[in-house]
Amino acid sequence: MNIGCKPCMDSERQKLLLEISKVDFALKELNLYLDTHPYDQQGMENFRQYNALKNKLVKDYTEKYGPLVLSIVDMDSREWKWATQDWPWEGGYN
Amino acid sequence: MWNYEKRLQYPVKITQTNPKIAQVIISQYGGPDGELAASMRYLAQRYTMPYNTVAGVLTDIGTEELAHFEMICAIVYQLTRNLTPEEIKESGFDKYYVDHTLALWPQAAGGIPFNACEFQSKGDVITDLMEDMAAEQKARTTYDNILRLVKDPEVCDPIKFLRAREIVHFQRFGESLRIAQENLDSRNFYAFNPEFDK
Repeated sequence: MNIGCKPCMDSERQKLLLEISKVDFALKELNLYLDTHPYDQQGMENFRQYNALKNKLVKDYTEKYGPLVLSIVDMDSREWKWATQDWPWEGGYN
Repeated sequence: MWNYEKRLQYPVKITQTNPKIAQVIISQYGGPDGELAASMRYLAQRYTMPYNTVAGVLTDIGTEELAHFEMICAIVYQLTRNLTPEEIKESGFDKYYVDHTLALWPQAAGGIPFNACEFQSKGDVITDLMEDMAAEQKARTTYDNILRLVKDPEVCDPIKFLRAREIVHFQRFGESLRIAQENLDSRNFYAFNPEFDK
């Protein structure tokens, strides 16, 4: 049975979240690589750059759509979107 | 301690339910070579690991495995969402349903509950890292077995991502073993156990 996409997200939001996932994937790969190559200067420099990019993208996403992490939340909102918005396993976004 | 990120490591968006295949995939949640066992194995082994870099690998891969069983649970959840009693009966999902309804519970495909006996925390660097490398290969084989049974590209896609991660983790554990051996007696790696003999 077809249950459809729940709830369908606008494509801009989906695109930004995918971008965050891609950057975070690079960070995870660098994280594991650096654990066993802890003096690789290029690896550390790449980590710094991707980390700055991820923080920027997560901040953009939070301002436009809602929080992904509790360390970056929109405190001007009158709604605790962390809890009111769908969780990731619903498949509506991510 | 840990922080939660409100997203999956890789997208899971399944539009066609399939309780039959859900019963197979759930093995990578609570089965012998599943992601839950992987996470608990690495996070348990790290406390007595004498090399900081290797304890880092155990911590960071153990953490990534938490995100992996979240993905597996999301797949199973989406494959069994809104099932009717008829669909449950026809697919053979009734034996799971009677105990758990449509909730997630860690078990192997054959119904055996998650069991810590599936993994070891032995307290010996060579033994534990060899176990970890084998575990990654066993999980990779399980994903290969799943991919032979699944045809839906919406299910195959995240499964292929998880399969690829097993290979990367195997590589990092191999490097961890090399780091450990560089710290041991090169004439006899078994001369002493650095997790016990001081």
